Amino acid sequence: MTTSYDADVVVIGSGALGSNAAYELAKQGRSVILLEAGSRIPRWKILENFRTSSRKANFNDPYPNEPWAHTSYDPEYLENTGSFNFRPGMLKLVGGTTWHWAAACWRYLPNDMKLKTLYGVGRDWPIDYDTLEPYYQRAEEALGVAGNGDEDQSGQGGKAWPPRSQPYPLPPDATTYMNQQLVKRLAPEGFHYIHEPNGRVTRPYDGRPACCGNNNCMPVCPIGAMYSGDMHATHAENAGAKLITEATAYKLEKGAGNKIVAVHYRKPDGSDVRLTARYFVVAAHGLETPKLLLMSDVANSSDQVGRNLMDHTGIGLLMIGDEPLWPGRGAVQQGGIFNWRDGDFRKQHSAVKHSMSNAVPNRTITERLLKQGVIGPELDEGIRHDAARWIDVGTVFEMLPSPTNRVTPSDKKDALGIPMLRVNYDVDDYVKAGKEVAKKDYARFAKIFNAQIVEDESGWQNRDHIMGSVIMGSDPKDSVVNGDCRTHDHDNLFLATTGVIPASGVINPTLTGVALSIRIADTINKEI
Amino acid sequence: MSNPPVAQAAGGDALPENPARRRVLLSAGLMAAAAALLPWARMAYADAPAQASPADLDAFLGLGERLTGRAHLPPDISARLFAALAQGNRAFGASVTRLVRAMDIAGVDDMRAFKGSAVDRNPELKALAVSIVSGWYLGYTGTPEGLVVKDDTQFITYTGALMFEPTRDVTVIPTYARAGTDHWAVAPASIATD
Repeated sequence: MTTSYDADVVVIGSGALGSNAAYELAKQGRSVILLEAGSRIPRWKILENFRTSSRKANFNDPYPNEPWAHTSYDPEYLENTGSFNFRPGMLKLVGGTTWHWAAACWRYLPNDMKLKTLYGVGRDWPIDYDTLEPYYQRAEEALGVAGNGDEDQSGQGGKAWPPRSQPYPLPPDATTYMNQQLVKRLAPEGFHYIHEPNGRVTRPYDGRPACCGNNNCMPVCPIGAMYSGDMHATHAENAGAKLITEATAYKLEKGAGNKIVAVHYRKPDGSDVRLTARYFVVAAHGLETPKLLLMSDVANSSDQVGRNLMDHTGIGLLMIGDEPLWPGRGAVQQGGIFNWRDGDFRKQHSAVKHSMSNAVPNRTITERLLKQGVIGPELDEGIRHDAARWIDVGTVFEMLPSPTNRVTPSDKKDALGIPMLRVNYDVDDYVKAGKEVAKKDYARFAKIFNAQIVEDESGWQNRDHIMGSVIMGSDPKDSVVNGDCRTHDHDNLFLATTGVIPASGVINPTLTGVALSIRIADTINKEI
Repeated sequence: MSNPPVAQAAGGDALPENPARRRVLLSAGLMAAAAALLPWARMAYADAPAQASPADLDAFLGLGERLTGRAHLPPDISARLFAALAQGNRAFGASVTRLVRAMDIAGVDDMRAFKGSAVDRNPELKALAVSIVSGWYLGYTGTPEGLVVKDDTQFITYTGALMFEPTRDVTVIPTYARAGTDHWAVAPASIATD
């Protein structure tokens, strides 16, 4: 007897990870259904929403926040019970949260993936860098990554690292005048400033124009030079995948042999649909994915679903330097200082990354001057003086996985009757020890640039890099998925989310998530 | 590049002669300017925006120009800012008149004379001056709050926000571009004098 299915594969979530997996599957002739809780919104509309927003620092503001598809800044929707207001900028629309990111596309280092073995803390990845390398290359090609392959990205001033099988798909953007000056002053002090590989194309690529410095990567690139997940949602559709919007998955149904047999989704009108498939890929964001698994009581024999939640929780430094550097020319960020990315110190404290913002700083500067009561000609003079000399350092730390940092379904329900989110998150001692090191660097930066400090006690900040919540490992007793992102409990259920990442390092996890998602598609393609 | 259309609240050829009718139309224009943001039907009378007369609006535009040191500011943006600042404060028009008079008396025709003047030293007048300048420079009123979906801010203008003027020759108003790929590698022309 043959069973008929609605699709070979159902992918839940049309963000960068889900859409890349859907595209790779559809390209091989698989029938794919791609579910998206939110709607499809054209870029021009998001752009107009941004331009007419009174909350320009709020990166969720230009995007829809619907009763059936809430974003994360809705305090009702995401309740915190821990000491930190864990609130990443999650979006719900076709393309997902890469609509507003800075498109940093780093690879992990081989050592990042052996944290426990080398440094005795946290966890090792169950796979190594060499296994992931070809997929990194494919992910970089998919996203159109522009990078400098000649630098030691481990920040130790050594040979080109990590190893690459091929050059970056696109040459790096030219170094900004600001960064040229920064390097001149930081290098003699031993700070290694590294160019940030990024998903902003430097020449026309995959239907995208070259970046020309509109300086609005967050919350929306007006021209689509910067990668966003909707691009691959469209590619997946063109390759034959069926995209269903306003469709919130709320239940994975288990069947014989511990297989997942169906997914149930609900429309805003309250109607329910059941879809069957041979394989299921949940790519529904690092918070929503564990929530769906917990609501469905699947993949949780280890009791680790929703636990080990990590962000690169950070701090910030604002200062006014002694020479005009002029941030705001080019994309919003271009590089950072990586001295503390890897080394024996990781036995004692977290790795540390400092990035210099290149966002036009006028709003922040003007708000500050007005708060001081500065008006008249001094206001115009102050804006120009400070805007030329503004140095905005964003620092991130490596969190370790902890079972008490956790996301669970909340008791509150959304308009569909589906539970909202509850998070419990505390910053660990490993990060607190890293902060001490970062603060010493801050003092040195201030001295190097003879700077007036504007803010050096920011408190902990969200960095929107969600990891660990469906953690990867080789032992089914203490992890949710294996090295292929296949759930230990269900052979035909894969998780395409940065939530699988077991050791967070200090780099933005999206590129790694896309590489793992492409690898999921390869695994499924081989098995169907 | 244009701002979202709003009802024209400043004087113009199309406006009728009858001053009473003209006042009604102007109020309607102000309502329309802010209507996108407010469910009027549910508002208490005391919270409804002040009825702005043409004289009020002219005075407010003049005051904005004086406080920001700009010879010409757009009347439509000025009317929108008046509506936002007057919300919930029916005495706002009178406060504007007091500030204008105080500046006249103190001889603050030019903002270079503001610092240390009697107006600068009066906390209430200074706060009002700063709030008007804030609206013009930032392009919004109220206080933005991070990581939430609502706050008390109101949108006034984006490209018209004066905070971008002092750096117009070097950087961009975000979302707009000034030159092609990689132009940022070269030092700004003004670097020697910045």
